[in-house]
Amino acid sequence: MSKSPEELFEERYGRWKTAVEVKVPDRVPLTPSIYGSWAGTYSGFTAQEIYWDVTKSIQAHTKLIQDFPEWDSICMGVLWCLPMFESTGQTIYRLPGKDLSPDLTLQFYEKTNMFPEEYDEFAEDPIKWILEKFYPRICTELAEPGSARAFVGILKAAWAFANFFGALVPAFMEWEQKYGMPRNIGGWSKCPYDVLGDKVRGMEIMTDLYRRPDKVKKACEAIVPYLITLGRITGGFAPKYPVMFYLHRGNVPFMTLEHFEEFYWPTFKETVLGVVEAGHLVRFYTEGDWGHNLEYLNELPKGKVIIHLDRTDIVKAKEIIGDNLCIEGNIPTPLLALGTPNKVEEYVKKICEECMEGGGFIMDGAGGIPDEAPLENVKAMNEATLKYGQYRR
Amino acid sequence: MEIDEICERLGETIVNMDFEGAKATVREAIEKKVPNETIIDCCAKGMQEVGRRYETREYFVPELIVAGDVMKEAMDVLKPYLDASDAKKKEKIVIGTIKGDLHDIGKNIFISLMESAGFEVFDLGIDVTEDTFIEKLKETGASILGMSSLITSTIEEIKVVVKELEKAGLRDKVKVIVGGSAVSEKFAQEVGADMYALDALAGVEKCKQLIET
Ligand code: B12
Repeated sequence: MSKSPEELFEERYGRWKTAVEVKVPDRVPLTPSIYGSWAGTYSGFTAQEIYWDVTKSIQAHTKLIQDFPEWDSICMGVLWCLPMFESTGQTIYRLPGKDLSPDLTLQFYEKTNMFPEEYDEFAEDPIKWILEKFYPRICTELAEPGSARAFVGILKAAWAFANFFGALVPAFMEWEQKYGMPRNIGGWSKCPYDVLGDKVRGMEIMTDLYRRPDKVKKACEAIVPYLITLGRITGGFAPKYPVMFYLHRGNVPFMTLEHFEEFYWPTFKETVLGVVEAGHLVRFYTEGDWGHNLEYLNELPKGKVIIHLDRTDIVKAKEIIGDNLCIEGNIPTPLLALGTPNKVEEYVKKICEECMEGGGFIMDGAGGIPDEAPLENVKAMNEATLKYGQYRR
Repeated sequence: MEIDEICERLGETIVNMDFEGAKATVREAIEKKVPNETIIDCCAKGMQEVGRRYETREYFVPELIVAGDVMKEAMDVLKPYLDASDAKKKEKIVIGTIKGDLHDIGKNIFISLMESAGFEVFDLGIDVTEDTFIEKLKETGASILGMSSLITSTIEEIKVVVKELEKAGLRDKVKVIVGGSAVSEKFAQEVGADMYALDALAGVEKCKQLIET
């Protein structure tokens, strides 16, 4: 007899949650993340279509849920509301079909958006600085705060966002209730240093570590409460699912361990604990190689944290953090994009053998499923996980 | 003797990312009549040590950038004392990140190591079109073209540039070196580049070998 959606949901979510708690489920959960536009590639939409039109994106992801019932969650990476972006005239992303060819995923264009003299102002009142300096600087329509043009820009953006959100909520409900399919992202927040590095100071943050270290530290400290609140609010819409942190600049080759310990870790840890204290799970995408930072992660509470590994040696990660934290990953991006099904299977087998013992292990690509991944490779990942990831028979 | 000592200290100020120390030591060297060329060489040696430490993971990207800045500021102190006779004839290289690609951290590291190795570098920045590359090569008469590529979706652009070089009749005058994590030795051969380097230091070595032969 086929299972009801409730039963399917319980089975999938329970399997995932057991692994998150670093216990042993019936098999290794399979939660392929889609951070780019693979859902579109698969369903015959261009990146332009799924990025701009949320109904097409929903259709594409629903098709994945229908076609891959062996997955334990669906990840809708295209949670960008481009009509809202467009209404503000933002200049920090290049958009498919507008600045890029229609088949390319949206791209972040890094710039320096804060002058060094502004550090104090930022630390004094980060939100004020963001609203009065940052947005006017990066959004052509908001260049003059208080102007009629800015007012209309905000109005249009709010309208676009309401449409977007209004379409998403029923889709999310349908995925759970009709297909019994959980998601693997609830809310999101950021690491304080990455906020400064990514969007605010850009590359300059690296020389600031030497030129104005105290200012960097103060600025990081100043945004902790806001980032905790951000995680709690966005996570509050779907508290079953983890609050996501994408981590960019704390690892090899972007900072030494001494810098990590002084500038990255303290305020990041505080932010994460603040979100966890409110009852949330958290999930990190540790971009790049985190091999030398792993020990620090053990300071986080057991069973509350999922570490999605990119290019970190996952066997080493299992050894160092595997008793405390759930690890997710990490079929290499080039392998999924350019390799053969056999090679994918081999890799899945290898990491199952080395990492599944004792639970606390989830299967995913190192960067989720890359845009260019051929279907055979994704199928190979699915089949190999079912084959080698069984705990009991 | 004293010159050697100053020289060594100057190199160390760069390795230690000591802005004030580097400028003061350059001033001291000028006073003690250390030849300009020697001062430049000492700074370059310091920068090469920084590059070595980067490749062995003692230093990371921030240290490379800051040491590069220290070197620049030290050179600014020396600039007013330089005259035409100090300007050795330098080998020229044009470099940029290819069209559609906005990554420049690795490219900039390669540039600062090339400069400290004595090359004259014309940096075209990021998202560089084939026309811009060709134009700059014609204008400068550079003998090397360096291209950086980190994303696979635009890597074909390297092929386009090499084709354009042929069309412009420059292919036998200009050696092409490619780097960045999207390219490989195999790819470099396929598109007809002359050299590939896994890291910046190796790239500098290859360019040096090229002009020695
Ligand atoms: C930092 C970074 C960014 C920064 C770039 C900041 C900047 N100013 O450069 C930002 C955030 C802007 C960014 C944006 C994007 N990025 Co990015 N980025 C990275 C990251 C994390 C590090 C790259 C880096 O700087 N490494 C450090 C340097 C020192 O190493 P390197 O570049 O390899 O350089 C060394 C050598 O290769 C060599 N070298 C480099 N160039 C040259 C040239 C010559 C001639 C020679 C001889 C040597 C040489 O010298 C260096 C020192 O040894 C990588 C992931 C990773 N860990 O590598 C992703 C990565 C390169 N990015 C990626 C992607 C997909 C993107 C985006 C499309 C993401 C998005 N959707 O927005 C955009 C693309 C924008 C664009 N059109 O280019 C992918 C590329 C995947 C692929 N193969 O196609 C990567 C691999 C991440 C991933 N795991 O998927 N990115």
